[in-house]
Amino acid sequence: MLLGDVGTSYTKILDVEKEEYRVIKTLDLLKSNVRFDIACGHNAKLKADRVVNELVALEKGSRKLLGEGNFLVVDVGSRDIKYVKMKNNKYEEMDWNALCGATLGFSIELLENHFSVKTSEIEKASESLGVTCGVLGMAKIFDKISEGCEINNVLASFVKGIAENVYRFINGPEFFYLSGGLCNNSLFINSFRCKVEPLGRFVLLEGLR
Amino acid sequence: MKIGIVGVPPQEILDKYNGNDFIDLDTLFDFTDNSKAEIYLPKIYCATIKSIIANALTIKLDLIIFDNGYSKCDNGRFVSEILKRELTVPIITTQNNATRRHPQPICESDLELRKKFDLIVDSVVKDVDKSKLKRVEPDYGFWGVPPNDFSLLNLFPKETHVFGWARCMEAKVPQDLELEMMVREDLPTVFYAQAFCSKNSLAKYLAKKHNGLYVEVDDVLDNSVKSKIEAYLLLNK
Repeated sequence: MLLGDVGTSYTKILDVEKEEYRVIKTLDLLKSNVRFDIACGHNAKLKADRVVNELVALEKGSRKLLGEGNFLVVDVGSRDIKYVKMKNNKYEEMDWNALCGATLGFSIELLENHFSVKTSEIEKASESLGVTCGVLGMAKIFDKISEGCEINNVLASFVKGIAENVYRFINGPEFFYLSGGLCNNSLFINSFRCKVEPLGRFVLLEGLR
Repeated sequence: MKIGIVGVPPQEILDKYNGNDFIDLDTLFDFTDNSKAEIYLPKIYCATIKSIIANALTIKLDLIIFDNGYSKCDNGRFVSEILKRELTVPIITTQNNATRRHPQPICESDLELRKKFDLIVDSVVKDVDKSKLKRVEPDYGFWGVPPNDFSLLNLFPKETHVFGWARCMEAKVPQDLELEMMVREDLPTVFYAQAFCSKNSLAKYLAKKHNGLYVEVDDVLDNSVKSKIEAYLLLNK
């Protein structure tokens, strides 16, 4: 059985029989003839007959990884932010920020490519750049650079701005679990003002099993 | 006469024109082109208000009855003034101060949510037979105004009760803020507002207070909002 989390930029794949996980670019997936038995994600319906809602997959996958109980898990994707909060094994709260305030992961990758920098190798910033969404945040980056600010500092401030944005969106918790590709970005994780535990980028796939 | 109406005009005014052909200008018809409204309105504006202007510019009308006070919205008040100055068709502006709440069987019926809204909107200008409606025990609530894009309503099951201004429409008390803010405490409810509408303040406030889902939609429903509502309904099953 082949499971897919077909995101905007990347597709996460699980071959259940082989217990094999892999990540490919969604653009490459769309050009291929790969089809999934079950999938979630923005482009899932193009590649699977059985499509599961992403937030439901996040909730199920988190419960498989964390067990029953209380938790807040936040998935920061290329295009959107979504979270679900469970209390006493029951659904408590959710939200999904898909348009205004979004395109955050995508913006980081775009900037890394543009400046040939790996943000995960940059030290965290003390100041955050006020980031409403990825697109508006990028305009601010170029303004700062034109003012003579050092590129790495500006990028770190941008990432901190994104972290602040996510933190406000999830109502300022003391602790949360992080899901998604940004789990591998230490700058992003260290830019939060609260404790963050990364769960990796395959949480939704666990929810599809 | 072909009469365009906006909002829920007072019954006595509608009765005066009984027998005429009424058209609800708040509606996004197949032919409604909201971009037409941009000759008077900013591009970024409430889609329902844009539809009113676009329809008023497109449909050949003999009269417009525009309920433009606090029984509608501030945007409506400003827009009625624009239409008065720009159109040759006569416009009667009204403020519906009715306080007697009529029963709301459509809001609690076992009809599909979209059908409920069709009937609620129809009930403003014509008598709707409610005698055969059956009440359903709700699993969910939908709070808000009739959305610009009715396809949003297809996401909900029949077991959805209607709250908010749409309920005020059926009750024929569009200025009744107390009824507009009424929700069922234990019912998972989606609080909907049209983007750039001042009712977003109520929707956000009530969603937070009642642990509901606040949803703001501009123009037509997109996949992200659709997925968000689907997730909320599934997680609250």
